[in-house]
Amino acid sequence: RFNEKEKEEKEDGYGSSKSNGSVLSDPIEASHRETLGLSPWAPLKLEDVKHAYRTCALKWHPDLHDDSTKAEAEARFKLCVVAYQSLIQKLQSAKIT
Amino acid sequence: MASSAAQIHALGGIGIATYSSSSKSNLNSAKRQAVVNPENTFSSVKRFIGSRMDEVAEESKQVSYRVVKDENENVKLDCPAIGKQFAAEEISAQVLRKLVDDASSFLDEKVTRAVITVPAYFNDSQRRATKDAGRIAGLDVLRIINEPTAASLAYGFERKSNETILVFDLGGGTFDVSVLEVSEGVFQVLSTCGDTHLGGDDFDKRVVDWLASNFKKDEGIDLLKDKQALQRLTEAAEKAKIELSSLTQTNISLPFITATADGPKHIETTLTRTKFRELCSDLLDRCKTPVENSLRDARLKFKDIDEVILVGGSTRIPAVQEVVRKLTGKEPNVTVNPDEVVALGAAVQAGVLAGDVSHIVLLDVTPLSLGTNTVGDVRKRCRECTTSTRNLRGSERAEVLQVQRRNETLRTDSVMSKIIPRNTTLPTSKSKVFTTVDDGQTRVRFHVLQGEREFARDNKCLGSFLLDGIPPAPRGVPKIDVKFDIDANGILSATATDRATGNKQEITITGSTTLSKDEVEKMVKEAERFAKDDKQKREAIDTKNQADSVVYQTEKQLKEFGEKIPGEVKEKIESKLQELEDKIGSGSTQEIKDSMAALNQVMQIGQSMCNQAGPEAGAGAGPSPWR
Repeated sequence: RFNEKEKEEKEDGYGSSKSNGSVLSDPIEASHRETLGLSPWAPLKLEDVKHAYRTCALKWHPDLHDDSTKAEAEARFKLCVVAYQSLIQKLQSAKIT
Repeated sequence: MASSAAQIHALGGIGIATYSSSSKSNLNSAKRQAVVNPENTFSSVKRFIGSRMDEVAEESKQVSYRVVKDENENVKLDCPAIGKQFAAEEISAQVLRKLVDDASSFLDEKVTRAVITVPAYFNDSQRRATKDAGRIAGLDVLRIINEPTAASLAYGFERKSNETILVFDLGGGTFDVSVLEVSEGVFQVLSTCGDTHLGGDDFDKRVVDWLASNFKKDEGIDLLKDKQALQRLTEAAEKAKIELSSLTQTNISLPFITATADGPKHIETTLTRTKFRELCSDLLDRCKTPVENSLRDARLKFKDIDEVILVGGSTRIPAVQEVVRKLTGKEPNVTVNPDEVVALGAAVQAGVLAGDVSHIVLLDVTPLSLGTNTVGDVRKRCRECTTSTRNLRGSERAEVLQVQRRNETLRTDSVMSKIIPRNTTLPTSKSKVFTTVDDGQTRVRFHVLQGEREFARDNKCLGSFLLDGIPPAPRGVPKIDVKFDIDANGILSATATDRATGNKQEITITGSTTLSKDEVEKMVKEAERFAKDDKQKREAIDTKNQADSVVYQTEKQLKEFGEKIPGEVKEKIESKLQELEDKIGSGSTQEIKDSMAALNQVMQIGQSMCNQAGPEAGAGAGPSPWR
């Protein structure tokens, strides 16, 4: 019975869009968070997203790589930009509504 | 920063430098040259680089030299003195070469690679032309970076705090505004906006027109038609403008500006700061729109801006500062030197690219949207023929736009479909799905367009490519993926892939649109030859100067110590001296050098004899007269 209750809660969290930060509802967002190295559970905060993006930029921007790793870095960096923009957009639309 | 510039050296905006065709000379001597020889002295070349004639019609009227077009409508600068038409790239290359020479001799190291800055609002072909100019100057151009971004790099290099800054860059010929977020060593450009046809030159022009119209009213003579008078007016206007940055009024005095049957005519007038502001009021208004637009694009309000940084010489104009102050409600930051900050920032970026600076990264954006041409009235057509979108699944449906019909030139009604919107962080890849507009259409021509205008024709066309061999199908059925890619070096490539067959066509836009690859190669060679000629000329002048001073020294010493050396040696010295003097008059560099060496030899004999004869006197002469 205890297990059932836990399961229920999990399922509840799974489908809800509450701001408690449960992101499994959105696999795209989950992957974007992963790209930037953000926790999949924590509530989404603007400052965290920005900080994570900056960290990634310093790590993956092709300017900071020599020819041997440039192509890979460029691909990684592009993913980071997409992830950052998507998360920022989500935060901004949340702010408006 | 010096450490980061070991091999690479940064070059600031090339627009301020002026070049005269006969000799590479510094700004002031070129300005003098401009008065004497207006048709053969080029200035503000930056306004013409990478442009077609129809894009710079207004500018070409404002300069003292003749701007012409070649058979491809590209701009060429006419130089009657040597009967040649130069591309703007060649003139810029000469400026770059001079800068590189100066940097090389300062660093005592050969400079081969460079980071060159351009106005942020330059389009792709202007950037490529600038890169070509670098190549013609014999440089490996590592990167073209935007001037306001470079300025922010220099400004934020030593600062750690989290700031949102607005860079207001009003230079000699162009105006840029960039909004950046600077934090943790990441310089993130949020938006860029600008006006490539607004700068200090326009402010000068207002004063020139004012002087000329007053003169016409008083004397009935149009000075604007006289190239030499125009050049003097322009110079006086610029001087007055600069003086009005520190004074509230200034005198403009141009004696003998022209002459009539009654005698010489002069201009003697006073320009006040208020009058100057009145003359330039519409220019000042034009500064406002890019500031507002860049904030809108960055989704910020004026209150979100922490610092406003002024860059470019024209921001010294008090009226411009006043506009910034009023608009942003902030006291602009004037701690950076507006003339140098851009070059310093380029040096920082050079350091990053060389691997010497690792805690800083610049995330720049593309200032103008990139896209391709599609048929107009897309929605209407789609409604008429639902078949065209029926075969595509939901998420794709929104992306479908019909590409142009079979004909290969841009139709007047074709519109631009943006693939990479402006202010997208670089490097980037974006794609969209397109389809055909006719039943059985097998080929599609894609034009690569840059700009913000609705209709394809009004945007800059960077190139085009043809995708052939699409299997015949009803309109709207074929799916063509179009991918645009801008790499870290700013090289744009476009790929179109037909999903049905996997057929692929791509175009990499590398060469500038105004010069072909062959032309650039030719210019590189020519510039190298010029550089050789110039080197020889310089050597000749240096040798001559050296010889002159040898003659002078020898004569002086002969006078002083002549009686202490035997007559035959003295005669020998005198004859060698005479020989050298003759050679200075007419001989080649090598001959002058030879006679100098010969004279040196006999002088040494004389000196040693002189020392033997009287050590006291010899000591006074020093070990060698010309050391």
